[in-house]
Amino acid sequence: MYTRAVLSTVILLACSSVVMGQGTTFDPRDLSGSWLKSGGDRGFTNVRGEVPPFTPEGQKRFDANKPSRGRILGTPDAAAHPEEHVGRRRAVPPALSNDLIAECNPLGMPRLLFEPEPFEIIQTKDKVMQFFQWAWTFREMWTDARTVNTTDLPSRWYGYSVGKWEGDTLVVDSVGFDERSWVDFYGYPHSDQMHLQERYRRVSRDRLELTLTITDPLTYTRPFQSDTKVFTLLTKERLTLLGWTGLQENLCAPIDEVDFNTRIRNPAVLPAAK
Amino acid sequence: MKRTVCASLVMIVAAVLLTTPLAAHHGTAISYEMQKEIVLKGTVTQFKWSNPHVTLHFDVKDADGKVVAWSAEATSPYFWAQRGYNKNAVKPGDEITITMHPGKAGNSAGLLMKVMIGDKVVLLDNDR
Repeated sequence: MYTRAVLSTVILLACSSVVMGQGTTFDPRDLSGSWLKSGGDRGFTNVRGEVPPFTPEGQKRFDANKPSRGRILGTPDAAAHPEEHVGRRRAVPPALSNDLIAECNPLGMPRLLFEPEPFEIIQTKDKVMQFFQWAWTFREMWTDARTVNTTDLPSRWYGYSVGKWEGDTLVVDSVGFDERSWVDFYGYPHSDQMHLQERYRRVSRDRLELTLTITDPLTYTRPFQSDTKVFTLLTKERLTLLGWTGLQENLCAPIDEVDFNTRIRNPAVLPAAK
Repeated sequence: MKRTVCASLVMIVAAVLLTTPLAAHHGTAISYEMQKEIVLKGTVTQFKWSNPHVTLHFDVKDADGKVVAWSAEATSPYFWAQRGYNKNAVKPGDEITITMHPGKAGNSAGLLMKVMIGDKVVLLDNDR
């Protein structure tokens, strides 16, 4: 009798989606909470990551983007690292860049995911939402088994996202993107034909892992694969700043950013007006 | 009348050689001479606790006694708040000594490293 009870319990736990991680119970299918990216930079891949060859159209778009992140264009430092993709060795000062962020335009997807600021995941029966501290922006990932047909839909900065569970991995497929956004801070381009797939997996109570794949035949000759992004669950203490618990309103307001560019960032590198 | 500026433009243009060019990886630093530091004395005219950049504006009297308006870029309010600073760290009228990386164009703009009022450090960004 006792043996049977123990066996039943073991089987029940094994079949349950509730598992034990680092001494704490968690449900791998519940991603709720506030998460902060651990390590890495703001790139789609890390510094050793492979960037697939561009199509001619992709090359044209890549050349048109002038990022201000990475090794500085034309410097000995940039020349000394040929092992890094050229996208990480072509930075220009923000005043000479055409990064849309300079005037607080939306970062779009997947770039917003790479900010070193937390996002909160709010999960309901029909959708998973991400609320980002940076940009103070919501994003919806529908899990109600809908499909997306973009024929008549306008493109969007954050696209149209549907998700489904494959085991304990939330797989989110997104299409319908505004092609003006960049893949990341290094100015890798995408077209409005980009298909973004995100795979989220909560591997322990405090650790969420994400890998991403971009399939965009107009821009890249083969799928573009990210490294594994790692996010850490934030405690209430870590979410408390200046006596306020919760995400901070890190909203990039043009009225402030344009003033900043005019008074500081542009004068820092551009000759004074006569 | 607004009390002017305390002291003269100064001081040190210290060529602080860094072993690694921080500017290489930082979107902000690329606009500044990260291997140089300047120290100025001035009077705060505005401290903007805004996103995504906190900014500090202050008047400095140059060698000829002329008042020059300077501005310093600082990183985000989130960064400062995590280190215990808040919007009241400095206020208009404060007499400050500020250490900055100068802008590459030689204009009156820099990247904030440290601000002192008297002997007290009131803002310190030691991540650069």
